[in-house]
Amino acid sequence: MKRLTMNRVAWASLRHYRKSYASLAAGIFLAVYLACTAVLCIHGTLEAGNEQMARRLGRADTILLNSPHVTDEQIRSSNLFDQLGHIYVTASVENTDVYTGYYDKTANHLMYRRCVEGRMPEKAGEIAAEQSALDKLGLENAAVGDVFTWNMQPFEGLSEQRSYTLVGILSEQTVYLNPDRWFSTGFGTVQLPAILISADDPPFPVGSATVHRVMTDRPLVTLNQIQNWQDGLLHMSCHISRVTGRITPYDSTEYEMERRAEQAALWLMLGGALLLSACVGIASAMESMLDRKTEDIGMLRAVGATRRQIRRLLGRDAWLLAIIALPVGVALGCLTCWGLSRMMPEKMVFHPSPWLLLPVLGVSGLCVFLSSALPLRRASRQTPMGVLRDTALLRRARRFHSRRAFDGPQLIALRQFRLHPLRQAGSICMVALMLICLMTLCVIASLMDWSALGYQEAFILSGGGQTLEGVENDPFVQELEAGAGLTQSDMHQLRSLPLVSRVDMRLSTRVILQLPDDTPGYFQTQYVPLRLANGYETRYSVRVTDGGLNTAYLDSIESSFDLPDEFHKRDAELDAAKHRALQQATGVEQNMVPMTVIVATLDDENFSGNLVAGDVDLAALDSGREVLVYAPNIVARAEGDRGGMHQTNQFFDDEISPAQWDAVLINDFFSVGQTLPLMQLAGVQADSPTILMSEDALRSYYGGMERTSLVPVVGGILKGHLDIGGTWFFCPCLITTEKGAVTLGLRSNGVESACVSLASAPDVDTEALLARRIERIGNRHGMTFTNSLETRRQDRAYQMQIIALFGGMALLFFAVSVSMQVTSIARRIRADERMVGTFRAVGADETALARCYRLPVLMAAVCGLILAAAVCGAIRWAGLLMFRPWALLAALPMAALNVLCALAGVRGQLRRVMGRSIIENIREL
Amino acid sequence: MEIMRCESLSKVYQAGENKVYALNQVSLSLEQGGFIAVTGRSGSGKSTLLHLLSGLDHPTSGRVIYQDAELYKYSDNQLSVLRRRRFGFVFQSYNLVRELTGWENILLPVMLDNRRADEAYLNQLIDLLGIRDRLNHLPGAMSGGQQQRVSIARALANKPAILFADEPTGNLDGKSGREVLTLLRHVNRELGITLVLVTHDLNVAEQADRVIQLEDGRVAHDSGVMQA
Repeated sequence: MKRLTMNRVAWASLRHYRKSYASLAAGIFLAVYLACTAVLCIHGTLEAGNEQMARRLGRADTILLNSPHVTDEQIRSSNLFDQLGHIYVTASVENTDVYTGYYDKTANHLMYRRCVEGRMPEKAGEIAAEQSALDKLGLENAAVGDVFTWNMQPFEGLSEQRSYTLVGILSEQTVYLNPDRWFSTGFGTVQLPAILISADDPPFPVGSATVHRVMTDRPLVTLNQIQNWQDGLLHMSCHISRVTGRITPYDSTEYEMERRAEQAALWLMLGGALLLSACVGIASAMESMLDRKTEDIGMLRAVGATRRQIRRLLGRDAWLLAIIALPVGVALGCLTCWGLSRMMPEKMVFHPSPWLLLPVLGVSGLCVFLSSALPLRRASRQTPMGVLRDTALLRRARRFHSRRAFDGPQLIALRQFRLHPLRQAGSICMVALMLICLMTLCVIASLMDWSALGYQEAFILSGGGQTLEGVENDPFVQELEAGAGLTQSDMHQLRSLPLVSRVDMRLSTRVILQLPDDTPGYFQTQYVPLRLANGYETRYSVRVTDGGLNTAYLDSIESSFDLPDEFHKRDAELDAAKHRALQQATGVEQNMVPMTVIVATLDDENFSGNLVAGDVDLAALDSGREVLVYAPNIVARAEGDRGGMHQTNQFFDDEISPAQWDAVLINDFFSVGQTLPLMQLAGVQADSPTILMSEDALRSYYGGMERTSLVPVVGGILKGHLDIGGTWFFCPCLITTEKGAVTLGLRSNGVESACVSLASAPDVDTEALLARRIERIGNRHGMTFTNSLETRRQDRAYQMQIIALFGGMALLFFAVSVSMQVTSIARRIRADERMVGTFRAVGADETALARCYRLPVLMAAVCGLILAAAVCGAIRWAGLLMFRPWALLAALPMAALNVLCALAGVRGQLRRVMGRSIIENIREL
Repeated sequence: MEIMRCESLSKVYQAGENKVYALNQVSLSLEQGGFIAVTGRSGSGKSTLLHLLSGLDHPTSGRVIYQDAELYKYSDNQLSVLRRRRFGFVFQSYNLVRELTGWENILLPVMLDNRRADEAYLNQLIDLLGIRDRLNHLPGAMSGGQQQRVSIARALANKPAILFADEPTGNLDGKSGREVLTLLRHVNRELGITLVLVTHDLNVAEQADRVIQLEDGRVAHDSGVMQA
C-alpha cells in the first residue's frame, strides 16, 4: 500500500480538477515568467550600461600624478591595480600650459593615444600634437611636415630652444581636462602631454621629466579603497575611453550611472506592476479554486484536519504548479530578454548566469507565497459545519439590509461583496493601478514641453573668462589676462558659422562704487549668533559683497564698532588696510565697495519678473547713460551645523517667513535715477596682493592700475531670482549691454559664456560640424562645451519612453482589470446558475439579473478610483510627483470605459446562461 | 371558463441517436379557479408539462395559449413579465435565493415588477402560511417546510392567476406535507387562484377538482374530460 502524503493528495487534486486549475496555473506561470524577464532585463540593462560606458568613457583607471616617493613595487603590491604604465612629461612649450612628453608601452596602450592625421613620432625631433595645443600656441594653420622652433622650459633648469617636425595630429585628450581643472597639480596647470615626442629625444641637461603613472583598477576595487591607499597621494580616479581616448573623472560617470539606474528602475516598475497583476491573478484564481473546494474543505475539517493542514494541503497545489511552471517560465523569460536585447542592443544585453536564477526563484516564490496566503488563510478559518452549510458566512452577509425600498439584485450584490471581498480586491487593485498609471501619464505629459525641440540656445560655451592663475583675486581690481574667455574674433567666428542666427554672450568685470559718507545699511556686515552642536557659540557674517570682502571696514575699524570676535576683527582690519591703501592710491576720500558688472546680450523680455522700479531701456543701456542694478533683499538663516562646521543660507526675502530671519539686508541705497559714482581699476598684474603685503606695497599695487571713472544713472532696479544666460545671480551687481560696456569704457577679459542659437533646425551633418567647430573655439580658452540639442533630444527620448511605459502599463492594467472582472463574474454566474434560474422563474429579465452583477463592477471602479486618488495624494504629499486634481478628472473617463467594457462582458456571460432554459438553469447537478 | 390551454405539446430530449419523448402530443384545457392535479409515475412527464405550461421551458413542438395569446411567441422579456405578474411557481426544492432573507425572497417578484408591496395582503399571506417568525432568517437557517412555505408566499406575492406547484410536498414529512397542501387548497378556494399541482401522491390528487394522469408523456386519464 502506498503511503498517503500531502503531495499525493495535491497531485490527485490537480489531476481531478485539471481544467479548473488552468487559471491558477496561468497566474503562477505568468509570475515566474515575469519575474524571470524582469530580473534578466534589469541585469541586462545595467550590464549594457556598463559596457556602453566602458566603450565611451573607458574602464576604471587611476592616474597617479608626480609622486616620486611611491615606487612601482608599492603600486604593484597594493593589489589595487592591474597594469602599470608611465607618462613622462618633459617640458612646457613657450611657457604655456602645453606640455611635451612621451609614454612607455603600457601607458601608450592605456592612454589610448592615436593620430587623426599622420603618425606617431618615432625618432628624436619628431612630434605629434593635439590640434587644441597647436591652437593655444597660435599655430592654428599648422600642418603635418611643418618644422617649429620652440622655447622649451623643463621643470628644473634653464629653457632651451629646440626644433621639432610635426609628423602627426593627435586625437584630443588633454583638452578635456582643462575646463574643470580637476587634473591640475600644485602648479595650477594640466601636466599631461598635449604634444608627444619620441622617447629618444635627448633629455634636458638639468632635472628630469615628471613621471605620472597610469594604472587600470583591478575588478571590484572601489574608489574608496583607492582613496584610502597611501593617503595624500595625487591620484585621480578616472575613465579613459578605449575609443576616443577621452579622460573623464569619476564624477561625470555618476550621471551615467544614474541614467542606467533610472532605466533599471523603469524595468523594476514595469516588472513590479506586471508581477503585481500576476499576483492578483493568482490570488483570485486561488480564491475561486477554494470556493469550488468549499465542500472538500468542510469535509476535511469534519474529519479532523487542522487549519494549518488545510493551508498546507491547499497551498501545496500552488507550489506544485510553480515547480512545473518554473522551467517553462524561465525558458520563455530568457527568450523574451534575448529578443529584447536583439531589438535594442544598446540598451540591453543578454548575459544569463546561473546566479540570476536565485533572484528569479526568490521573486516568483514570494509572489506565489504572498498571493496565495490570504485566500488560504480565509479558507482555513472556516468552521466545518459553516463551510458545509454556508450559514456562518451568510450571517455575516445579513449585515446589509435594504434601506428604503427592497432591491433584491442590489442586496444580493452587496452581500456577495461582503462574503467574497477578495474577489473584488484584485479588480480594485487593477483599476487603481490603471488609474494611477493614467494620472501619472497625464501629469508627466502636462509637464513636458511639447513644442518642437527648438534650435534656440543650441550650443553653449561656458566657464571662460576667469584668469587661469589659481590665485585669489583682489576684489577691487579687474585683472586682465590675454586668452581668458572668448575674444571679439572668436565671437565673430561663432556668429559667422552656418545657420547661426544669434550668439548671446555674458561676461563680468569688477568696478568700485563710491559710497556716501554714511554707509548704507545694505552694505554693512551683519553678524548672526550661532550655537554649534558641540556647544560652542560663534557668529557668522552676512554681507552683500561677493568678493569675500568684509565690509565691516567701512565703519572705520578704530571706532567702537562691535565686532564679535578676534577672527572677524582681523578680517576687517586687513580689509580696512586694503581700503586705506586704495583711498590713498586713488585720492578718493569716500568709502568704496567692489561691485560686479554683468555684461550680457539683453532683450526686452529679460527681467520682466525681476523689475521692481524703473524700466529696461536698451537704447539708454547701449549708450552707456544707464545701467541696471540688481539689488535683492537678502535674508539669512543659520542652519545645519555639524560639530564646528556651520552653513550659512542666504535667501531672498520672499523665500522664508520673517519669523525665521536671522539677518536681513534691505536695499536702502540704490534708487532709479540715482547717479552712481563708479571707478574701475584694471590691469595685468603678475603678483596679486596678498594678506602679507604692507600698505605701501598695496598702495603702489593699486596705483599701478589703469583707472577709469564712470557715472552712469540707475535705469531700473531688479530683485528676486536673476537668471542671465543660464546662470543664477545672488549678490547685488550692475548690468549693462555689450555696447554699453564699450561706451562706458569698461575693461574686461573675454566672454565667459556664449549661447549659440540657430535660425533653423540643423541636419545631422551640420549639427556635427557646428558642434565640432564651436567646441574647438571653446577649447582654445578651456571652456566647457554643451550641445543642448543633444541633451534635449535625450531628455525628450527619455520622457517619451516614460510616457510609453506608463501608457502601456495603463493599457495593460485596463485589459487585466476588465478581463479579471469579466472572468470573475462569469465564474460567479456559472456558479449562480441556479439562482439565475430562480430569478428568471419569478419573472426577472436580463436587466434585473445584470443588476446583481453590475454592482461589483461599479464598486471596483469607485473603490479603484478612491484608492488611486489616495495613492496619488500620498505621492504628492511625499513630494515625488506633483499630481493635480484635474488628473482625477482625466481618470474618470477611463474608469467609466472600464465599467462599460466589464458590463458588456457581464451581459455577454448572462446571455450565454440565459440562452439555456430556466429548467436547465435550476436543475440540480 | 378556460384560462389556459395547450395543443399538441411535445418535448423531446435527444440522447445520442435515441429520441426520448418527455411529453408527447399533449393537449389540455385548464379551467379558471380549478385545482388540477397532474399525477403519474416518475419520468411520465409531469414536471415537463408543468414547466412548459408555466413558460419555464420551451417545447419542441406545440402551443401553449394563455388568455388567447400564444405563450412561446412572447419575447423573453414579455415572458418574464408574464411570469412575475400572472404565474407563480413552487419548486420541489424550494429554490429560494440563499443570499436573501425569507421576507426578501417573498418580496422578490414584487420588486422585480417595480411595484409597491401590498403589505396587508402579504401580511395576510404570511399569517396564513405561519412563517412570521422566520421572515428575518436566511433560507439556510430554515427547515424544509418553512422554506417551502416561503417559496409559496413568494409565488403568491404578486397575486398570480395561476399557481404552479411541482411536488411541493415531495421533500416534506407527512405533517408538513399535509399542512402545505391545506394551504394550497385554501389559497385556491379563498383567493380564486388556479392551482396546477404535480404530485405522485394519490392522497394529494384526491383533493383536486381534476386529476390528469400521465404515462410515458401522454395523457392516460383526465378526470376533467370525463366529467365534461
